[in-house]
Amino acid sequence: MAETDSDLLEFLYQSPIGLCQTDIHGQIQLSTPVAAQLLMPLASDGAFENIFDLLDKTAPELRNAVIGFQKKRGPIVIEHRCPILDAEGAVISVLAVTATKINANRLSIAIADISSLVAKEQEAHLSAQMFNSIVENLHGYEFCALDQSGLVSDWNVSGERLSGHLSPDILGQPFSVLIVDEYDAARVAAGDAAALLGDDADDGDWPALLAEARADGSARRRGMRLRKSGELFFAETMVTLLRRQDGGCVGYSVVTREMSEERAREQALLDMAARDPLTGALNRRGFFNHIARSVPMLAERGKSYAVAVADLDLFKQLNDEHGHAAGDAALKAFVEAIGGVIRSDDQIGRIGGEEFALFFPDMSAEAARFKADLIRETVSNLSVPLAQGAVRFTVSIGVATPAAPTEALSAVIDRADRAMYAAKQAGRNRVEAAA
Amino acid sequence: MQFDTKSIVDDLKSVTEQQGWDALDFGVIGINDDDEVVIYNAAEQKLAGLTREDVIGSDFFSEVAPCMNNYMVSGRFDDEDTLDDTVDYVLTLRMKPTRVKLRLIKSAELDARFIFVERSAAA
Repeated sequence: MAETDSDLLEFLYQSPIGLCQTDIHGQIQLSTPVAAQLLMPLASDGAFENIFDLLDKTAPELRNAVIGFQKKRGPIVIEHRCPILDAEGAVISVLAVTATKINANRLSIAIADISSLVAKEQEAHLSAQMFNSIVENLHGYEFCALDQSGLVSDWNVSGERLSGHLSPDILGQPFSVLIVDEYDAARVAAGDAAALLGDDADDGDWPALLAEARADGSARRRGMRLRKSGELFFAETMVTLLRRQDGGCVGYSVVTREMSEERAREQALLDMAARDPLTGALNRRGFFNHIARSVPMLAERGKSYAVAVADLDLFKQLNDEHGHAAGDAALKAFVEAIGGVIRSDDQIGRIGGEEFALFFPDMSAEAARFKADLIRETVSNLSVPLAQGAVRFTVSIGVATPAAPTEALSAVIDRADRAMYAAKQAGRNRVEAAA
Repeated sequence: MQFDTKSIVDDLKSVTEQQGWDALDFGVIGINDDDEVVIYNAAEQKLAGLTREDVIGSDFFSEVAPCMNNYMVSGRFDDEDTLDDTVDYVLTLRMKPTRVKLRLIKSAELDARFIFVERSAAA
């Protein structure tokens, strides 16, 4: 036998694809071994004669496709999937069949086993369904994906719920439109809604977050996020780098966890730690922390402040005469009354047993004096009901404002304190301005 | 030795030379425990169109005869310790579907596993 014939036969024997030549009715004339390997198990009578007979149980439509094919030549079906089932109907393997009409009398049929490809597809399909079930059911979370440039590439119902945007509006947008940096968030909290307008060129540290994800694989930040409605909410944003199998970056996955409630509870706890439990006024530490933070911020904006120190008159006597419950009732009534008279940005702190301090941001000396007198008047008119009868009392107040912008806060408070003592000396139920 | 000789194992043990295999009028393939071809007689060469040199040492079921690489043939040798069974099969000899009888032989007394190949009478 010629060498080339043997080579050719070997070549065909070794073909990993099943290949058959049949007549127009499917009678097999030539076949590579793999075709027999794949189709013999389908042969009920051990015959390997007609390809349509062999494939009838798994793909009866093939016969019809060939009969119905009108053209003189050309592809009839391409990679048509034929599942092979066992006795119980479970899929053992999947074949892909490509049938081509060569001429009026001849078909060329290629058969390949694609079982592992199909298994991978099933896995991917399952993964997608699991992801969807998480996205649908987990409230308070948002799952989305970004492309390599940080533009939103994948959006779903979780994003519609949390951030409020519909897919057509947000796809292709930079994710940073959903983020509000700390500075803007503070402005919004202070009432400046205009902070949300305009192109956020600085984007806070969002680009840094993406860079960290590229370097470490993931990154997270807590901060303010923006809903479509304009509402802000506090959330943890977690970014994970998405890679191809060869390691190249293909984008990012972003998971957002709403934390507004959690944060509100944290804030409430912190707040409680700064307050006097009896009256609800700030406690000593809370008050001094507050003014220590506030004064520099005011100074930055070129604004000043006023401080008052108020001490309840003859409080020890009140306690001795009417009991400590009466004293407590008086203190509570005092703070409540002040609350009705001071502005929302003003603060009151209980800095001693019956001693209180007041902080008035951005108030002139004159206005502060006027305010202090209003407090004094209001308190003198109070009648605090007790278990039996009622009790009345007065307050002495000292007021001070910084003599110069450079005067230390502690010095201003000292002067207010001394002014309060002066008010006591001068007869109580008085307001004195510091020297 | 005939294709359907009853006590075939003794006959197989008695063949010591290539001539012995080539004298038989049916195809004989012998494979070792690693599925490599160790015996490939003249009759089989003629049936398949391959030379012995091409085939000796190759993995039979993967490289030489994939059409027998399923539970009906190769699977039998994997699953059974002793085997002497004749089955109807279709081989793609020279790419033409050919009805054959295969006799599958495996025994602890033999150094190799054997497949006898004989064309079936036309149906």
